[in-house]
Amino acid sequence: MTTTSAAPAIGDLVPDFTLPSLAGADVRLSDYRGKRLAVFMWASW
Amino acid sequence: MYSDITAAGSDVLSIAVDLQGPDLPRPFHDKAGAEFTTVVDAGTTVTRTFGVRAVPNGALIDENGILRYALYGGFEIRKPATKKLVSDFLLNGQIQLTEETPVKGAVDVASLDYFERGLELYGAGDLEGAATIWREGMKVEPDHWNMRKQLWAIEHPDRFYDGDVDYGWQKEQVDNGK
Repeated sequence: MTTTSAAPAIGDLVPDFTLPSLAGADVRLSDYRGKRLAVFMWASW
Repeated sequence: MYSDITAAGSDVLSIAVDLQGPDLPRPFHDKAGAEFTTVVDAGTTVTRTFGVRAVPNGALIDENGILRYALYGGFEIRKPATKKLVSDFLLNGQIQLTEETPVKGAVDVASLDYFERGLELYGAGDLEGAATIWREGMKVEPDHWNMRKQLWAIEHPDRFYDGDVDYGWQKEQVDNGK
């Protein structure tokens, strides 16, 4: 089995993605282009 | 605090990694009175994009979409050193690493393929098939917490969906080496 992930290292461009907000709107990472952004990833469980 | 961040031309994006969808993370977001946006990843977007196998994680991305800092695993914004690092970046664009805030970036994760194949089966309603794949994946990558927890949720749904999530039980499983 091969690994297909090419995760960005420090200094690399983070690939764009789209995820639904709690309010139901589509949010793209690229919506934040032009701003400094802190991304927090968490889980309720 | 959040208004200071946006005034500095910065923002915060919270990503809840919950296969079961928005109903579980929503109360956490609401209770925190969070003004920033929370999105929900019910698949492998976070895992694939950032190359992570567990949460909580923090990443700092600059105006051009470039990754400037990553702490994958054990990211805790309440820790003073972490809070300072994030604040300095958002307010001033500076990153000053300390011993308490090392870069901990992505790893090559052979188990991603197991995780994703299991998700496909899970999505198709084949819980037993998903559990089988994830058990194989756990042998390859015992630290893949997202997969471990999904596996637990199938094997012991009473600990996850019947009232409060049983964190004590999860700790027991870890202590028992499962």
